[in-house]
Formats: sequence, C-alpha cells, structure tokens
Amino acid sequence: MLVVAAAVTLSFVLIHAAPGDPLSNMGAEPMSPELVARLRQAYRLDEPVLVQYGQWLALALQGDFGYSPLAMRPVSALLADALPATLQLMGMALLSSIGLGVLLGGWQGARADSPGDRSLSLLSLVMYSVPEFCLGIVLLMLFVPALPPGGMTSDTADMLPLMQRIVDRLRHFILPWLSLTIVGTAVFARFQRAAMRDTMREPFVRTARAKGLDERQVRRQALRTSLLPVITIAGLTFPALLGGAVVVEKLFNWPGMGQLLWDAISRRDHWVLAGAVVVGSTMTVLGNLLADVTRAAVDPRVERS
Amino acid sequence: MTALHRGAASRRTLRASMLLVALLAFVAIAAPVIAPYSPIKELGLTTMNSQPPSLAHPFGTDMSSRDVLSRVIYGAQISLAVAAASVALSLLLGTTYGALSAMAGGTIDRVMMRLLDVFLALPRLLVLLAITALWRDLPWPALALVIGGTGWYDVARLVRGEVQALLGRDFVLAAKAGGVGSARLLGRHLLPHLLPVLAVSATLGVAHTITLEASLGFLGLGVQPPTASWGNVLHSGIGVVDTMWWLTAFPVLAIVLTVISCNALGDALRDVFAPEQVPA
Amino acid sequence: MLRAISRFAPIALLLAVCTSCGGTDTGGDSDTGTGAGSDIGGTLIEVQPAEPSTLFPPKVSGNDAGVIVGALFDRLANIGPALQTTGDQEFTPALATGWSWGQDSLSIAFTLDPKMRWHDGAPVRAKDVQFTFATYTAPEVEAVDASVLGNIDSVSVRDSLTPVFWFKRRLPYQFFDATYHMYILPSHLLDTIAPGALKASAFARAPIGTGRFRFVSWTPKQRIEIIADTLNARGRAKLDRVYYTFTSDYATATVKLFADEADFYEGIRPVNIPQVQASSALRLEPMPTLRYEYMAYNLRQKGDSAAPHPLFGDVNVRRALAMAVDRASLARNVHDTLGAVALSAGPRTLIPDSAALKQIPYDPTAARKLLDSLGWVPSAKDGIRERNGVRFSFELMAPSSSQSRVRFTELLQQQFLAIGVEARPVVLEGPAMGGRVMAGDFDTFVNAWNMKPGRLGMAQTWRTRGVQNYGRYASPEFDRMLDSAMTSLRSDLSAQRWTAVFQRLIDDQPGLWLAEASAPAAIHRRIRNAPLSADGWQRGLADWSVDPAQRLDRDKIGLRSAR
Repeated sequence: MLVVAAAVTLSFVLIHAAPGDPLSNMGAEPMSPELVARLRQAYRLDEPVLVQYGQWLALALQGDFGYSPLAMRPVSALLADALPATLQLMGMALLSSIGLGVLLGGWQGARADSPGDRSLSLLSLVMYSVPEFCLGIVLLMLFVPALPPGGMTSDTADMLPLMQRIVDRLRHFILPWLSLTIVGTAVFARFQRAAMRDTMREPFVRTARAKGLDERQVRRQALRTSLLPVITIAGLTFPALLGGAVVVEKLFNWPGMGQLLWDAISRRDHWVLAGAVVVGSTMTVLGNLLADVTRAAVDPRVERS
Repeated sequence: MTALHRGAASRRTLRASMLLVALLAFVAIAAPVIAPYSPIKELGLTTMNSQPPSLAHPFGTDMSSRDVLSRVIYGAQISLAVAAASVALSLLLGTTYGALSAMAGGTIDRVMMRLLDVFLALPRLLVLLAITALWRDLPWPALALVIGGTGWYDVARLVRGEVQALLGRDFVLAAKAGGVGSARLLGRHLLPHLLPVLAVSATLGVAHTITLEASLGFLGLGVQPPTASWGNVLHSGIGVVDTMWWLTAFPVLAIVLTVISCNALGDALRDVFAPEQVPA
Repeated sequence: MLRAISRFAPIALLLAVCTSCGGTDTGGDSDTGTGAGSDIGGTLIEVQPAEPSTLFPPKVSGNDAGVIVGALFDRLANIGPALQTTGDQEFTPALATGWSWGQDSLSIAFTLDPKMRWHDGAPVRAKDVQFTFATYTAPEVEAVDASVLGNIDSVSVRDSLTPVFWFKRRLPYQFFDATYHMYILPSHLLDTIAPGALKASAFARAPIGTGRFRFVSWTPKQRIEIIADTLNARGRAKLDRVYYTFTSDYATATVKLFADEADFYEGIRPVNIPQVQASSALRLEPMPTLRYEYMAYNLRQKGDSAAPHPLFGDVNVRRALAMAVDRASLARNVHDTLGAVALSAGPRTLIPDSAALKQIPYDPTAARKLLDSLGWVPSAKDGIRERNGVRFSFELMAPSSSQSRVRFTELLQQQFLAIGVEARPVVLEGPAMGGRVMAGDFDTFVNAWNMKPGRLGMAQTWRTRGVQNYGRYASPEFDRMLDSAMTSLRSDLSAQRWTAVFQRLIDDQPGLWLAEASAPAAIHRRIRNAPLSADGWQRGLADWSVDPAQRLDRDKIGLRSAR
C-alpha cells in the first residue's frame, strides 16, 4: 500500500512539474485559446495540483480512475483493455524464463566449470547483455514475413475457424514472447547457476552422497534448496520486466500496458498515467507477495503464519 | 576441475575484458583524433546522404549525410560518459546511504531499509521514461544525474550488508575503541574493504546504464541530436532498418560489445575478489 | 514445484493464449458477389499510424479518423474532385438530391433524398440536418470546425425533406460552408443525450450513419471494422469490408504491408519507395496533399505580446535568414523526389498563379552582408554574430512525432551556422511543444499545416489575432489584402488578389517557407481504386473493388460477421 501510494504521488509530481498538459497537444487543427481555457476548466486542469490530487485520490479509492480527455474514455476502461494483453505476455514470459532459467542454471551449477557450463555461461552472458529491443529487431529481421511483425491477431482472425484462430494467436505471440524470454532466461540462469554451484558445496550434499543417494537424487535435492534466492529475485525483477514491456510492446505493437503508458507519458495524459502507475506498482507488490508465498511453499524452514 | 584452474580461466577472462573496456575508453577519449570526420558535419545534403558502407565511409553515411563511423566513435564519448557519471553518482549515494543505515542500526536502519523497498518497487525504466519524455532536451550531465539518482538502491543494500558484516570485525572494534569518529571510520577503515564489492557493482552498473541509455534512445528519448550518442544514432535508423541497415547495425554492435565486455569484466572481478558471492 | 511448472507450462501457455479466442462462427450464407467475374466482394486493410479517440463526427480531427467517419457518414453534397470551394457548380448530390438558392442568395433550401435510411433503418429527415447544425455549433460540444460555421445564421425545417440554411452575408464559399464541414447526424438517436455528453456516448464508439459502409466493431488499440451496407439506397459498396488497423511504429507498418497483411498505407517514406516499386504485390498511387512545412518565427518577445522579438521583430533579419537557406537542397534531402520547395504559405495547388511569385534567392554572401549592415557582426570568440551584447542564438523546436520536421531542424542548424547564426534544435513531444507555442514561449519552430480546400484557413493562420497565428504576425495591410481576396466574387479578380496575398507572405517572411511534399500511398495491386483526393482518400471508397482474378483468402470471407 505504501509502495503504491509513493508511486502514485511520484508520478503525479513528475507529470505536473513537466511542461505541457493534455490540452496543449497541437493536432492538425489547433483550438482557439478560449476553447482551451474552457476545456481546461471543464477538466479541472487549472486547479492547484494538490486539489487535483485529492479529488483524484478520493475517486480512485472507489475504483474510478478519472476520465481521459484525449482518449475520450474513462481511464478504467483503458486499463481494462490493456491489462489482459500485458498479463498474458508478461506472465508467460516470466514463467518460461524462470522455468528455462532454473533448468539451464541448475544443470550448469551442478557441473560448474565443466566445458559445457563454460560455453553455456558465455551464451547466457551474451544474451543477458543484449537489450530486449536489439534482440527483438534481430528476431524481426530473421522471422518476418514467416511470422507476423506485430499485433495480437491478424485483422481477419475473427473470421477464421477455431483451430486456425489459435494458430494465428500463437504465431503473433512467438516473437514478443521470445525476445522477453531469451533475455529473462539468461538472467535467471545466471542466478540459478551461482545458487546451485554454492549449494552443491554445502555439507548436506556431501552427507547425502555419503548416504548412498545417487547423483540424480542429490541434484534434485540441491536444486530445491537453491531455488530460494531465485524465487526472491523473481519477485524483485517484476518492475524491470514491466519496464522491458514498454519497449517490447512498442516494437511488436502489442496493445498492452506498455503502449498505454508510453502514450500517456508522451501525450501528458495525467490520469491515464496515474492509473497505469497504480496498476503497475500493484502488480509489483503482488509479484513480491507471490514470491514470498512460493518461497514458503518450497522452503520447509519458513514457517507459515 | 581445480580451484587453481578456475582462477587461471577467470584471470584470462579478466585480462581480455579489461583490454576491451580499456580499448573502448580509449576510443571515447581519443574520439577527435580517431574519427575520420566531424560527427555533425554534413558532407553533401543531396549527394552524400544515405550512402551504404564503403572504403571512405566504413559504416556508411546517415540521412543528413554525416559519417556514421564518426558518429559512433563520438557516440562512445557521450554514452560512456553518461554511464560513468551516473554509476559514480549511484555508488556515492548508495555507499553513503547503505553505510549510514548499517552504522546507525536500530529503528533508523529499519526505516531507511523500508524506504529503500519502496524505491525498489518503482519500475525504474518507467520513472526514467517519464522524466526523459517530459523533459526532452535534458543535457547529458542531467541525464546522468537522473539515471544515477535512480540507480543506487541496489548498491545501498549491498553496502549495508557488507558494512554490517564488517562492523563485527576486530579491526573495526579496535578503531572504535580508539575513539575514531563515524566519518573517519567509514572513510579510512571500512571503504578499503568495500572496494572489491564496489568495483564489481560499478562495472555491472556501467553495462546496465549503457543498455538503459540505448533503450531510451530506441524510444527517441535521452540525448538529443545532433549530439551523437549510441542511443540516438540507433533511433535515427530504426524506422529504416530494412533499407539502411548500417544506421542500426553498427550502433547495436557497439552497444552489445560494450555491454558484454563490461558484464564479463564484472563477472571476472567477482570471481577474483570474492569467488563465493552470489551475483548481484 | 519445479516439475509442476515444467509439466504444465505448455498447457498454461495454450490456455493463456486462448483466453480471448472464444466465440463461434455465426456462419450464415454470405451474399458475396454473384458470378466469378463479379467485382463485388473483397477485404481492404488499411494500416493507420494512430487509433482515433472517437468516431463522433463533430469531434473528429485529422486524416486518420476522418477517413473512417467519411466512409460511415454523408454530407448534404460532395465537393468536386478539383476541390473548388466557390459557388456550387462543381458540387455533386449526396444526402440531398438538389438545392435551390433564395432570391437574395442568403438562403439555400436542400431537397433530401426520400430513399435515404440510417443504418438502423430510420429515414433521414430535415430535422436531422437542423439537429446537426445545432450540435456542431453547441458550445458544450466543442466541435473542431465550429469556428468556420460562423456565417451560417440558422437552419430551419420547411418540410420533412427540406432543410433551409440561412446565411449572415453573401460570400463566394457559402455553399461550401453549408455542406463541407458537417456530416449529418441521426437526431432520433442523439437528441435525448446532453450535447456535452455526446462525445463520450456509446454512439461515439459505435456510430450509426448513412454511408455505403456501416460500422461493425472497434477492438481497442487494434482495429476498426466496417462492412458494406447492403440496404443502401445508392447501392451497396463493392468491397465487403474494410479494416483500419493501428500500428504506431512505421517500420512495423511497412513490414505488414510487404508481408501481404495490409493493402493500403498513406504516406510511404522516400526510402521505401524503391521497395514498393520492386514488390510484386504493391504499387504506388499518387496522393495529393494540401500540406506545407515552414519555420515559424515568433515576431513578438517571448511571453510579452506587445514588444517585438529581439531577433525576428525585424523583417530584414528574416529576409537575411531566408537568403542563407538552400531550400531546394533541404527539400530534396528531406523528401527526396517527392518534395518541392514551398513557394509561400501554401502548396502550389492553392496558389492561383505560382509563376508570378518573386522568391527571395539563396545567397549566403548577401545574407552575411545584410546582417553586417544591420549591426549583427561575428564575435571574435566563436564567430556567432552579436549586436549590443546580444548573441544571434535561438531555439528551433520540432515535434518528435514528425520525422521530416526534426530533420529540418538539424539541416537548418547547419545552414544558419554558415552565416554565423546559432540555432539550437529542441525536439519535444507534441503536447509539450504545443503548450509552449500557444503560450508564445518560443523563438522558432518547424510547423506544418494541412490546409483545407479553398484557402479558408489563411485567416486563422496569418490574419492579425487569427486563432492559429502563433507567431503573432500582425500586418493591417496583409489583413486588407486577405479580406478582399476572400470576399471577391469575380474569379479573375480573386486569382489576382490571392497571388498578391501569397507574394506579401514571401516579402514579409512571417515564416521561412520550406517544403511541400506529397508522399504517394502504397496500395495492393489487386485493389482497383478511385483517384485519391487531397481531402481524404475515402472519397469514392464505396466504388473501390478487388480484381476478381487476384483474390486473396481474405477477399473470400464474404459479408458474414464473427459476432
């Protein structure tokens, strides 16, 4: 709650301190000063920042995030349109990054410093170092037109039979998902490798081996233990992932929160920005909470209270 | 595989990556000498624009007929300067905050850490995006200030942990008993022990900052033309990547190369200084 | 836990991806074309850079939303292909089958076509026209074009098929005013809604018009779909359906086009033209525009409208800067073969006698001499000119959204530097720049106007205190010349007077006229289109068709809808 409040306050301060407001957007046919003044009054843009903030906060508590004069729609409607698309992409990318990263890093950590580990380490170092958009551009150059360059579905998707529609969605999903997942996998693999390597040196591993457990079982046990720090990290990477989403969503024309945020920032759409930040930081808090719960489930040492 | 063997390999990586980073730094500093052309000079508005790579222009020319090689070389100057300055700032802020928190202890420590959690939960790229989009014409030192000002939270955590561990050590207790003040204790006695951690954090930080600047540049934010930075050279080519690939390919190459060598250097440093530490 | 994740991940992936698949095909027989040779049927996909915020016609500004609204709604009469705005000779019937002028020429009575229906089946009536005028001019609606409807006094209903327009004074473009700015709205659906609430009403996102296409669906941030209105009195549109798909990124838009996923893109950039020409699927179609680009000066001091700007208040300084810029090369660099130097404050097509205009020649030496003689001399320090301790240095703004305008700032900076003048480019987001421009807080910026047919915007952009006269150019003599040109009812006299107006804008240089450019549209070869018009390509869209021999899968869907 504290986090969300801080995030909202910060975004409010930022956007109000910056030059320009949503009505100064000079379109193809600019408005007369009188009209701008009237609109400004209608949208309460001429009241002090604190008053605007208070009014907005009071309404937000009731689930009303205000109205976007530029999109001509309630902010909550805009958020409701964008959120599912982002959750789909981010959620799948996060899950597969963790899954692949843990497997890869676990395999490496169990064989630390073997030639196989070394070449994989180099690979994950390279992937970890490539910005998501660079990867995205390369993927676009490689796979288009075999795969669609952007969007969530083909324009004619609604007309297709069910199976083709699913294929169509998957084809649109692959490239943005891949650009996020490759980088994400490298991030988690690096953490998992170090955690696994350290765990493999711990006394309980030696004990297990001495007890005659075969190496597979030993490694499984070690992997379970070494998951803890990785889960914590997963919770903490949420904000970074959200940031990466802006870039990837823009590159692949994915109609999610990232695009919404980008539009809101560049068009000075205060209320949309504030609403998006609330959702973003709520997601962050939930991500951390989820990480805590998962850790408790995995780690027998954490007491459930 | 033996520890000794591993150390040798790490040192090899260390040397190689150090060499690369030094080379990049040299290119940046010596840009005026190395670059064949001025980064902002137009060579012929309607005759020399959008030329593909050739012997005279190994990286081609851009739409305003400027030499891309020269822009990438001068871009190194700005991009690395932004990275270095912002990392320096975040180290300064992070070390101070982390050390103060650890040395104060108790409630103050708890409150300071809770505050840090709040900062950490704010999506950083989002904040940067907002600031750079709202103030488009930030000069590069201001950009470094903003990036550094939002990048010190991890450092603060790291330093707090280290300092807490150090506070229990004999030499600190002895210094305290000898009546050494907090500031002096930090500067004289603790800092030397923090240097390895900070060195690792700094190289990884530089790598991360270059990625950030590039991402902002990709969106058309950050350092603005005609000043060249890797981010904005890249941005100018992004819409025409299929017809004028050289506008995107070379800055991307420069970015990826730099980030890889910085990350490799950071990894190698960590292996040499504190091989057991979990990457941060 | 780990095993659970890895085991269920593929299933979860499928589930997550398909959550919004849902729905079934409603099927139904499509009444697509008849025989194999029929040119009825087909799907057109247009890539648009931005999603419109509304489809409520009075609130629509800009081309992107304009083309959609233009396909769904009708005007009383359509302007002719030459975009002649004076008189009524070149206008063709649309919702009205005919019209008659009052004896004093201060009223026009339109005769509505009795067969016309709204897409919900209700007939079109004179009270719809009356309601439309009331809505466009209601202050709560804040219609984009409200300010240009000032010469219409009122609209009355003579009988259910005869609305009458009443004017305040006789002007050459009276008929244009009555027909061009307003799409007729359905009063039976909207008159119960408060005018201020219309733009956020359900109608604004699911409009009901009279056009030969009707609205189907709007998927936020993705696309809008319209289909042929088969019951339309003027006959159904030949195409089955049109998608407007939104892609803000230019590169993605072109990729979509080259990947055969889209059929039409307005404003292809010069670098991609060879690609379109080489493509077997696409062709280029000339696309006239009424757009011109220029560098706008602030003639008054920042924030203080009384005092002249320290640099640009002097017309000779502005003329010197014009001499320093090789405008032909700049236009060529930015727009390649698609551009030309702007001759004055308007594209050539709107200048009656462009050959008669006397330009300021490109002559940097003369520019330096002129600035020397005005007391602006190069400083010893860095060669930038100074006068009484004031440096000749100023900000040159451009919006980040416009690639060409940003390019101009970089090019102009170099040109000015060569004569010892420092321009500092500042690239801003549109709203931030707009805010500073409207507050008068700027030195110069690169601007572009999309003019409406008939030069009517000239009064708004250049007349003293015109609502869009951001540089605060104020010349009583120019105002007189403009008024006499606009009210002149004789065509030869009108041409002469307009030429004088444009010459005056060259001599006074309230802006440095840079370029006009008409980017062609890229269009799929199988599409047979009507000639594209400068006031929106949707003109004649209902008569576009697909070559039956070249149909793609998407052309065979027919008229059924998925919902």
